[in-house]
Amino acid sequence: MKLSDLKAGETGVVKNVLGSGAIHTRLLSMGILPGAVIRVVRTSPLGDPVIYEIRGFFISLRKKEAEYVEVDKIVPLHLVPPGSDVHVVLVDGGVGFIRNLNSMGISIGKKIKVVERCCPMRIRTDLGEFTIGMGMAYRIYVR
Amino acid sequence: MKVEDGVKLSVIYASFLSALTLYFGIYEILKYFISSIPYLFLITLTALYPLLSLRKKLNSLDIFLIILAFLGALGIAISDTYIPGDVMGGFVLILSSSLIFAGLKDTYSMLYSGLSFYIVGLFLLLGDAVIEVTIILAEVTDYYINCIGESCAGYVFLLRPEIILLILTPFALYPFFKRTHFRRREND
Amino acid sequence: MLVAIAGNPNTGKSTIFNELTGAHQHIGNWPGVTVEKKEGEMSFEGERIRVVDLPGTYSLTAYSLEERIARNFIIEEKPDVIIDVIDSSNLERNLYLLTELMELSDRIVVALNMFDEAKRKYKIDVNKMSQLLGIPVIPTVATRGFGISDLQKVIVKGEFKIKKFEYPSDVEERIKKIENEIEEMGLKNARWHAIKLIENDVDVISKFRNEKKILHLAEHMRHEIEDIYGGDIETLMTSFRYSFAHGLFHEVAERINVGGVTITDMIDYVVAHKIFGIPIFLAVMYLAFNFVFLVAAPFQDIIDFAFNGKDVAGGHINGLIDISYMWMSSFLPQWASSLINYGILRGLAAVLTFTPIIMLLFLVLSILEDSGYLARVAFLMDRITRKMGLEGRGIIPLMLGFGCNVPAVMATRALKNEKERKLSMALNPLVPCGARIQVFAFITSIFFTNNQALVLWSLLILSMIVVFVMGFIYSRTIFKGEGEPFVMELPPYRVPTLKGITVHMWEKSEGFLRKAGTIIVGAATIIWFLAALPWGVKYGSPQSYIGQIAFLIAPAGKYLGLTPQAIIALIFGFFAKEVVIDVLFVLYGTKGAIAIAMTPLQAYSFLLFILFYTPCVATLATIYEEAKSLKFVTFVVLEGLLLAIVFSFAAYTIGLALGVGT
Repeated sequence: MKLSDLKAGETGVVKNVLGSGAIHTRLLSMGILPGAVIRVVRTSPLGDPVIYEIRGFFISLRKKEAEYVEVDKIVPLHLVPPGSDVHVVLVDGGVGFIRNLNSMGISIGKKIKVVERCCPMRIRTDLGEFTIGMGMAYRIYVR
Repeated sequence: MKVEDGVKLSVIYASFLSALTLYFGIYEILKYFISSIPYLFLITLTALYPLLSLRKKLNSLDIFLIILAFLGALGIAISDTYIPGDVMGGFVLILSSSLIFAGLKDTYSMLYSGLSFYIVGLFLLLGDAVIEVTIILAEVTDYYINCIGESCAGYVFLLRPEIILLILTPFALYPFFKRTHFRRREND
Repeated sequence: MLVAIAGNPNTGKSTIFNELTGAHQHIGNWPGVTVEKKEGEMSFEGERIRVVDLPGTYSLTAYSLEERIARNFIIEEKPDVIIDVIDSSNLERNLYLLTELMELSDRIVVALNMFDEAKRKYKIDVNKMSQLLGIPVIPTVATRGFGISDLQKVIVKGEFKIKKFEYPSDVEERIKKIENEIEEMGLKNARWHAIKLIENDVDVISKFRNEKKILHLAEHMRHEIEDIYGGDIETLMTSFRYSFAHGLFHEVAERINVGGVTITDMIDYVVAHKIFGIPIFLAVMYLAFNFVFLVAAPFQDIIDFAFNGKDVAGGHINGLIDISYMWMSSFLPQWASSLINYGILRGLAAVLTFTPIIMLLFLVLSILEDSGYLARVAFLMDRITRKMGLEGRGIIPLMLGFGCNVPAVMATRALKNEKERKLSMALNPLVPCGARIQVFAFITSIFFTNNQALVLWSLLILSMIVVFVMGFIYSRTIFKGEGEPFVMELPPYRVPTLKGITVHMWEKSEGFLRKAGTIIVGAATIIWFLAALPWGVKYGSPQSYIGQIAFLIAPAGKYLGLTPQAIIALIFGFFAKEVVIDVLFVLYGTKGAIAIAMTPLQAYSFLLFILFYTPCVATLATIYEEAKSLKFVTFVVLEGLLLAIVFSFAAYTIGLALGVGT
């Protein structure tokens, strides 16, 4: 799916950046690279440029330019309704954070179940039931 | 005083402030078409609507504030000594007032979504007022410069709504300084 | 010693530059383009160091003008030290540029700017970063002057044992192969050239177009890498560099809080709101506009009064020019005194009266830009301005044009793209400025007493349509862009600093005074000659050269419905549009005489001509200063004249045919 197909508030992980020349290199050098998490923040009142958040900063792209970016839609864990089973796609954080999550059985590809949403969030993994803070849940992306 | 109470008080204050602003804004645009007093009452009542719908029961403080707002706005309307700005000036006032209104209810419940409108509205109002006061100063200077060598009367200083608002606005900024106490709305 | 300052846009690069060089700086353009070049000098313990501020860029590819300027400067001038200014609150992306700089130079100093802001977001281990990179890393807060002296010290005395980052070994060994070939040629920066050849960089490829062997090797290597990793080469190489930046970022920085709502989030929520966004933009523009033109008024009036004096009921109060004229006439021939005072000095006064507007305008513009609102304007208006071939920020010069075209042309600097800047400058004179609107108001009050507002509106709306249509046409023909993408960063809102604003304001106004000012004074002198000669005629009368020229072209003017007197007024209007009123009064005497001299149709045709014809000399001087091209100025002059003739002719002929207003 294309980046331009995501709606405000949705998140995607970049699969591929198409195009060539100026637009291709510009998108890449802004950090829109395969594997990067990109969130649609808001659409302009007139409908066209859209603000995206990537790597902690905000950029605006015209629809035409966003069409060059192929993404997979993902959902941050804190938006997952309770009772649903999901797969972890991506963990956004440093080495320590990833290690911490590993010890709870949360790593890429693993299946987890959201028991209770708020607050704190309770989840069940292969290793048992854990509570995690909302701050952590923001940075775990699932499908 | 608890932060929540302070914020609630500010919201009530701001609802009056923005009612006044709305009134000034409409007055600036439609100066020649409204005989001010009936409209004033209508607008003040509309302004109070969010407040009335927020509280299940009015307490004495609310009633006191309502009476104060009526009297204050009435006094300003009757004295009629300020000169209106232009249509765009009125538009800016109405815009600020509607921004504040849009944010009142959520600010009252300590939500960021409300505070956003609330502070943008207040800062727009504040910016407008500061710029307007600077312009008045420039106009006075200009008047006297153009008078050099001629005998002209002294500058007639008229009270502009922006000056009143400049004095009133800063008191409504309390929630802005307490913004860390606000919450996100769920599912946000 | 030569120092270059590189960095992303919005990182406070120019503040660092100002802090380093102080008052010793020179602002010009990079050769052949409208991109601003800042150069300055600083001294440290007796050593004089030349400092050049490179354009702000996100990377160093060959696809944008700024990036090419920056990297060519580094390759050709070989600065002794490069300062990479980094926005510490946005480390990861900023570190990407560092990875590119590291391929070009070993002597890099990292300035972690806006360190105070970053401290609220991350815990940054500066020492560790310096160790990992092997180069000095200095935390700075340029707006408060913090860290600047440290920066100066390490530029001269810093230790550079840079640890280059390495691509994966499959890639490294292939880079090495090409690097060896290039080294045999004896070219500097062999590694960088090798990497760029693999990356298929258009500039470097064309540099090696005669080295078929190397090109062939590079192409081979490129395909091998693409096959190993899967994907196109640009994506792969960028990914390698970004993963280094990403890794470094996580090594040295630790996030403090996550998920809180920032002020920027809150303001953007409203300012880019579906319903409120555009009204807020209009309100802000109105306030800015009002502020500039109303606050400038007293300053302009006092300057005007001081120089030109004033007519009052009892006669004329002498201004400086009159006094100096009388004084000089006592020892100079009258013509010389008149030339100096009514030609040159009056021109100077005209320049000075522009200054308050320009200073205030740049005050407002730098507040809008430094606070971050300008980027939001671009975001809001992009859809509309795109039709005219401009990005969203292009709306601001166009709106300012209604006040005065001179500052509006200067405001086109907000546009980053060269083509769009020129397009914007070509469109701006078509926006009727305050002086022209004043003339319209005066003339309509004489000829169209019953429907003055209607006529005024017809002119304003016509000008808006013409601006839009011309923009549409230009952007698809003469100023056709290379399709540079509009990928814009939205920086967080910041409170602008007083220092930053005043420096900015002073830079622009000084530039205007010195450069455009000279041209305006020159033009004023020429006008004086034309109006005062041959000797003995009344200034500006039909017998003067201006009058003679006007009568010469009067037969042509007939087709447009222009009287010779109107043509004289138009020629004077080239100096300053509001003069048109004065000249009409001088030539006809009274309002009543003007009213019977032209039919309403002729007057309307005259108005149309004023609406579009050649912008005033101050605007042209500014356009020349900004574009540095006489060809472009000629284009603007011809564009205006042509449009004016077309519209006047059309209106006059159609009017005559229909028998309206005759």
